[in-house]
Amino acid sequence: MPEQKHSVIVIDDEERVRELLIDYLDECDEFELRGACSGEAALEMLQLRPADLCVVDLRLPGIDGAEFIMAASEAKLCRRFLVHTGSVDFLLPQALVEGLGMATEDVFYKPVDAATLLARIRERLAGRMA
Amino acid sequence: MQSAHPREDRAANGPIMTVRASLTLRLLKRILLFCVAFTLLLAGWRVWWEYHAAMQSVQELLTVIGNTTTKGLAASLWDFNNPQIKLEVEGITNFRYIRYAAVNDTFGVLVTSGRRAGKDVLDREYPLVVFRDGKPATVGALHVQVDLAQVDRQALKTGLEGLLSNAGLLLLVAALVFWLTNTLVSRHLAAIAAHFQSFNLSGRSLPLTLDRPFMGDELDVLTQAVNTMQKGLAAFYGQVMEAQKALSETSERYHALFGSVSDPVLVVDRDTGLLVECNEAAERFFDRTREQFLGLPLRALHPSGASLMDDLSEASSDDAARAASPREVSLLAAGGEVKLAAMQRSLFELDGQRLVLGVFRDITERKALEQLLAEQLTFQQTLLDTIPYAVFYKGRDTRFLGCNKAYEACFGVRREDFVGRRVLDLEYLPMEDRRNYQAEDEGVIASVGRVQKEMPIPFADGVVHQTLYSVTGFRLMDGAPGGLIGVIVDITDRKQAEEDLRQSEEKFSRIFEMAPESITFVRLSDSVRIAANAAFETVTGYSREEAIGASVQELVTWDDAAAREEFLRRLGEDGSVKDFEFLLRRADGALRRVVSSAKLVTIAGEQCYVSITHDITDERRMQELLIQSEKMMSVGSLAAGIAHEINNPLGIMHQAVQNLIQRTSPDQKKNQETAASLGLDMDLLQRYVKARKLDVFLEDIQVAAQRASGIIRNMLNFSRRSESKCTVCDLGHIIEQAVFLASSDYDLKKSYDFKRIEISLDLETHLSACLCTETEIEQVLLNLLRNAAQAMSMCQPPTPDPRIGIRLRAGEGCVRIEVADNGPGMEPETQRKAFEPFYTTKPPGIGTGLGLSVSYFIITKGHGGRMWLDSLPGRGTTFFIELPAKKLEAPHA
Repeated sequence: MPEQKHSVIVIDDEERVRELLIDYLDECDEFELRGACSGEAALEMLQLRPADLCVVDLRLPGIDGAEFIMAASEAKLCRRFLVHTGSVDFLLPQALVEGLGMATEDVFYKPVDAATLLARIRERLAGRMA
Repeated sequence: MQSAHPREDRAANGPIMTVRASLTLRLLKRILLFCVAFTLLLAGWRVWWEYHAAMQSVQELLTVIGNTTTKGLAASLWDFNNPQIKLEVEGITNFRYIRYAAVNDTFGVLVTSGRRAGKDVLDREYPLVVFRDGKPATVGALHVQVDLAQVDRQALKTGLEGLLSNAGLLLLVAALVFWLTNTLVSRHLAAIAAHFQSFNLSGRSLPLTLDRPFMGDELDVLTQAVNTMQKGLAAFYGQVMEAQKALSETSERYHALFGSVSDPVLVVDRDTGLLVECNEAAERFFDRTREQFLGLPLRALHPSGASLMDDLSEASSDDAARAASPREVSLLAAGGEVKLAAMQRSLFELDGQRLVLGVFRDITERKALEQLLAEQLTFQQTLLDTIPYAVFYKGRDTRFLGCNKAYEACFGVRREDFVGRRVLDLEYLPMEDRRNYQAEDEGVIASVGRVQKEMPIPFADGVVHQTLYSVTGFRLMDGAPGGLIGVIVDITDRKQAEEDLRQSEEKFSRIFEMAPESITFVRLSDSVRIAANAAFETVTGYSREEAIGASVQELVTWDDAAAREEFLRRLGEDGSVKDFEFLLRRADGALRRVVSSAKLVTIAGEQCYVSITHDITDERRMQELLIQSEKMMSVGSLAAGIAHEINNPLGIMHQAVQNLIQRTSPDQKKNQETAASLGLDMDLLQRYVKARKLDVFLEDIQVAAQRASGIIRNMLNFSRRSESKCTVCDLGHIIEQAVFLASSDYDLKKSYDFKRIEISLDLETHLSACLCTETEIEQVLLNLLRNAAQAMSMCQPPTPDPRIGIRLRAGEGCVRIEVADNGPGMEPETQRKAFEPFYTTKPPGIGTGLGLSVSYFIITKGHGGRMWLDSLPGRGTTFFIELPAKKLEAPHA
C-alpha cells in the first residue's frame, strides 16, 4: 500500500451520483476523495490542494466539464481526467480525444460500470506512479 | 311683231290710195274760207262804220238845226212870217236823212214838210223860244224826224259795195293761189308720193327726181333727204333683214326647242297666276293636255296651293333671282301624284304681259338616286373610316381625293389640308422620296397597275412604322385610267408578332424539346400519341419512333388502367388535370412514380390533350428522405436529451446496486471490520442474502438498469461507435453474410421459415471501394431482412410467393444497396414513420421499434450515407442504402 493516498476529485452536479461513486471508491481505501458539484467548486478545491485525478461530468452548471479540464490542466492543478457523462453524443469521445488529448477509454457513459471505472482509475494512477 | 316683212308690205298697205282731198283744193278752200270770213267781217265793219258815221252826221245835223234854225224859226214865228217859216221848214227837210219837219205853234201845226212815218225814225223836238224883255217865251216847237231806214240803207249799200269789190279780188287771188300751189308744190308732192308709193325696200329703187329745174328750194332739200333716206333705209333694211333672218331662225329654234325640250316648261302670267303656255314635256310630266293647261291656275299644280306662285313672285321681287339657282318644288300631277322637280325661273315681259317662264326638271328619280348616292357615300365613308388601316385615293392627276380617318390619324393630317395635293407637294417628305412616289403614282395610274410592297413609313407619332404599302390603279366607266386607291397597313406589330411568334415558337419548341418533363400530345379520339419530346424517352424508356403513332393502350405506360380512366374522366370533366400521380411502367418494366398534368387542347381541329409528366420517384424519395432526415435529427436530439436525463438516474441505480453488492461482499475488508464491530457474521449475512434471493433482486435491478441504458445506447448507437472501425469492405460479402445470418436467425425461425423466401442476389462486382464498419452494415442488412421476412409472414393473408431481392449497384459517387420485397408494403403513414425510434408495426415483444432507427443512424451518421424506402401498399417495399464511395486520395483509415 502506498504511504500517500492518491487525491481524486469526483465532479458531478447530481449529488447522489457523486456521493455513490465516492462511497464506492472510498471503500477501496486507496484514494483521498473529494466531491465537487461544479467546475468552479472543483477548481477552488484544486487551488487549495491539487489532485491526481478528476472524474468529471461533462454537463455541469457554470463552466462545463470540457472547460474545467482545460482550465485545470492549464493551471497544472491536475493532469489526469476521466469523463463520465449522461450524454448520448457518440461523437463525444472523438471530440474529447481531439480537443483534450484524452483516450477514448477515459470516457464513460452513464450508467457507469463502477468496477471498470475503478480499474481505469487505478490504471491511470499507476501509470503516474510508474 | 311681224310688221316689216317685205312680202307682206303691199298687202298690208292695201291698194295705192288716190288723192281724195287735194291739198291744193284744200288750201284753196281754206284761203277762200278765210278770205270770205275776213271780207264779210270787213264788210260788216264797214256797214257798222258807215252807219255809225251817218248817225254821227245826223246828230251833228240835229245839233246844227237846234242851234241855228230854231232861232230863225222862233223869230219868224213871232212875226208870223209863215212863208219864211215854210221856206225854212222845207230847207230842213232838204237835209239828208231828214224825212219830216214841222213847226208847231201854240195852236197846232203850222207848217209841215215831208211825210211823217211811224217807224224806223228818230224824232226830235226843239222848242222855239223868243226872248222878250229878256224873258224866254216859247212860241212853238220844231219837230224833226230822221229817217233811220235811210241811214241803214245807206250803210248797207256802202258795205255791200265794199263787199262785192273785195269778193271779186278774193276770187282772183284764190285762183292764182290754186294755180301756183298746184304748179309749184302739189304736182311734186304727188310725184314724191308716187315715188314713195312705188318705193320698194326689197328691190333697188331709182332716186327721186322732180320734173322741174333745180331751184334749191325746200322741195329739192326734201328730194335730197328722201334720196338720202332711201339709201339709208336700203342699208338699214339690209341689216334689218339680216337681223330679221337671224331672229327668225333663233325664234324657230327656240320654238322647236321649247317644244322638244325634255324638261317641262310652263309660262305663267305673273299677274293672274294662270298658265299661258306649256310644252309637251310639261304635258307628259303633269299628265295634262295643253288645252287643260292653258288658263289653269298655277296653284293647281302644287300640293300646297299658292306656294309655287309665291316662289315665282319672289323671283320677281329680285332681279338677281332671275339667275337664281334652281329651287326644288313639289308638283302635283293630274293623277294626284306628287313629284319633285327642280325649278328654274326667268321673268320676261311680252306685249306688256308680265310672264314667268318656269323650267322644271323631274328630279323625283334623281332625288331618290341622290338619296341612294348620299347613303352610298355615307356608307362608303363610314366603311372607309371603319377600316383601321390608312386608306387614300387619288385622281388621275395624282392629286389626293380623300382618305379615311385612319389615314388622318396615322399622318396627323386633316382631309381638307391635303386633298388636291400631290405626293410631290408633301413637304414633310424628302424630295427624293416625293419624286419617287410621284413617279410611282403616275406609273400605277397610267398602267392601272398595282404596287404592293413592305416599306418603312414615318407616322405622325414620330416612329417609323413598318408598313404594307399597296396601291392599285382603277379605271373609269369608259375604261380610261381614273386614279388609284392606296392602303397602308401598319404591320409593325404584325412583324413584331411574327418575330415574336417565331421566337416564341423556337423558344417553345426548344422548351418542349429540352424540358426535363415528358411532354406528349395525345389525340383524345383514339388515344394515339401525336407528339412527344426528348424527355418522354428518358421518362418512359420508349423511343419516340415507337411512341408517336401508337396508342396509349398499345404502348402501355400506365401501370394501372383504372388510374388512366380516372385521369381521363377528370380531364373530361374539368378540361384539365393537375398533378395526377400514378405509376408509370417503363419500357424496361421498372415502375416509376410520376405526376402528370394535362389540359385539353385543339390541334388542327382535333381534340387532344397535352400532358406533362414528371418523374417524381427520385424527387419524392429525396423529399421524403429530407423530411425523414430532419425528423430523425430532431427525434435524435430529443432522444439524446432524454437519454442524458435518464442516464443519471440509471447511473444512480446502477451505482447504488454496485455499492450494495460491494458493501455486502464478505471479501471487503471494511465490511468485515464493520460486521465484526457489530457482531454480525458476514457468512450468515451472505447465506441470508442468498436464501432470501436478495442477490437476485439486486442483479435484477442492475440488469434492468443496464438494459435501459442499453436501449438508449442502441438507439443512438454510440457505444458501438466508439468501438467501430471503418475499413474498406467487400459489400457483396457482407450481404451474403447477412443473408446467411438471417436464415440462421433463431428469432426469425420461430415466426417464419426464412428458407421459404426466395432470395435473389444481384450483386455487381468491381465497385468503387467504400469505407464502412462491417458489423454495422451487416446489422443494418439483417434488420432489413428480418423486417421483410416478418412483414411478409405476418400480413394477412401472408404473401404467397415471398421474394426478397438484393441488388448491389454502383451509383454516382456512391454504392447503392437495394433490398426489395414483394410483401404487403407500407401505408404512406407507415412509410413516413418507419425510421422513427420506437415506431413499430409488430406486436408487442417482437420488436423494439429501434431496428430501422438504428439502421438509419448507422448509415447516415455513422457512414455519411443515405437511406430511404419506397413502398406501395400491396406491392412490396424497397429499401435503398447509399454509401459514399471512398475517395481515392483518402488514406486508409
